[in-house]
Amino acid sequence: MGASVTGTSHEAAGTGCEDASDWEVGPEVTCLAVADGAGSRPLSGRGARLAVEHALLIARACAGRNEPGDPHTWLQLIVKDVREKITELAASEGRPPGDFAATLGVAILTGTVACVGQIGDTIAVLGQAGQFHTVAPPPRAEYVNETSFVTDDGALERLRVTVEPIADVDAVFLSTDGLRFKVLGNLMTADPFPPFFEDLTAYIQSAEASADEIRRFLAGLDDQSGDDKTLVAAVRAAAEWPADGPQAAREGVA
Amino acid sequence: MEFSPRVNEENPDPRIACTLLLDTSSSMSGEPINQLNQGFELFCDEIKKDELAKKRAEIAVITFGSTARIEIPFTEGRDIQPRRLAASGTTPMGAALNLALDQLQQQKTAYKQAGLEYYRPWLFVLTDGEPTDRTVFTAAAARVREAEQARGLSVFAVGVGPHANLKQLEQLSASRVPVKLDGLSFGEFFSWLSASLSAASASNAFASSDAGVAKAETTEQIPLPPAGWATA
Repeated sequence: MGASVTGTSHEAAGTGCEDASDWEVGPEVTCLAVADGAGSRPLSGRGARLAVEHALLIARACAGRNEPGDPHTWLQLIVKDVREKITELAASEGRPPGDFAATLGVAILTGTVACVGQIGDTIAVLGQAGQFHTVAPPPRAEYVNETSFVTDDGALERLRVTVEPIADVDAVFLSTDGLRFKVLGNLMTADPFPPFFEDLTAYIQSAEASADEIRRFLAGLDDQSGDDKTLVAAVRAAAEWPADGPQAAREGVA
Repeated sequence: MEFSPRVNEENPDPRIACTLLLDTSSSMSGEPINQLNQGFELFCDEIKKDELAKKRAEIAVITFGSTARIEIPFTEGRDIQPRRLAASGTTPMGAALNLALDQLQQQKTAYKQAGLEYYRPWLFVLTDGEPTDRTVFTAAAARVREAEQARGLSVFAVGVGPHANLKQLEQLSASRVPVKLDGLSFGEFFSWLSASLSAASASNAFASSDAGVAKAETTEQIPLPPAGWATA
């Protein structure tokens, strides 16, 4: 469940929303993706949408195979594929791929693992109530003005991959840098602001939760950055927790 | 069902530290110090009207008249209150510069510890005379130039009245020449300062280190309004 909304400064500049996000809940695999088009590049919003679309496609294909193999290779494949697609699109329009530059965050949840791959200043928070933690925050310098993009030459080397057992993960949140002031407790360490994630988890577990309502919240939030705002979350449905705890739940993401 | 989660409400905005070094030696007595006080009062009002600047600009006032002292430690624009300054004594500008640089260093450290990003800090020096602590001043001016060279600071030197020694002020910056205030147009100066802090606050030329700020400035220049208060 999630949404992306245009930031106030992007509205003012008429650039439109350069964030993209999507998710897919399947019987075996649940995938989430977010991307933030580089503000200074003309076609980065399209780059972000293309990146999210292909990331989900490849994520499902890799993780859904009978012998899925190593999660690290899934994420590398995703990055390679997204780069190819952007390069093709750029070539077809006679543009350099860098015009489509975007950050990328992908989460893949299977019956055994939760894995997250990130390039650039995306935010990924995983865990269980009381134990939410930010995974693989970008190097400190990337939170401002300078970050890595999926179109960069060294993108594969800068891919940050985290793999955790699914038994330890009741919720996964992906976001772009626009929300960093509001959902992180400390910008230096990138630690999460726990009340936000607890409230969000409880909301998504409630029967009435809707993506429209999350969009409304994002649109109304003064994030103090003026940037586009994106939030995508997968939370294990409360009802799917068996009596002996979430450890035994299988495919328990909603 | 309405979704209104708790979010981090602390002021996370990047900060622009602006230090005002004000000459309050005896030669500023009378109309000059009055105009300065009125101008600063106006500034305190104007800075609060800008939604960004009131959260991003942090202003400190250091005076030099007999001694160098911190009149107002770094304070967010939305909280800053005017303060009547009185003029008396000598012009220990060197000591004031040292105090300002030390304060600024502390402030940057505080930003870093709090995980706050910052713009390149501004240092304004306003004087109607020349330093009476010559030796201290020479060393302090070298410190200021060094900080400027390291891109840790922007320096603006302003001479007030016919006796301001602009030659001495030139020592403060290798890149920006001192300017003269047109008469006693402190009001215009402070209006301009408020507008300039608004312009800076609306830019993205901030980062988490001096080097990062310098880099951010290469992609985004801060457009300052014309200085209507200056004279050739």
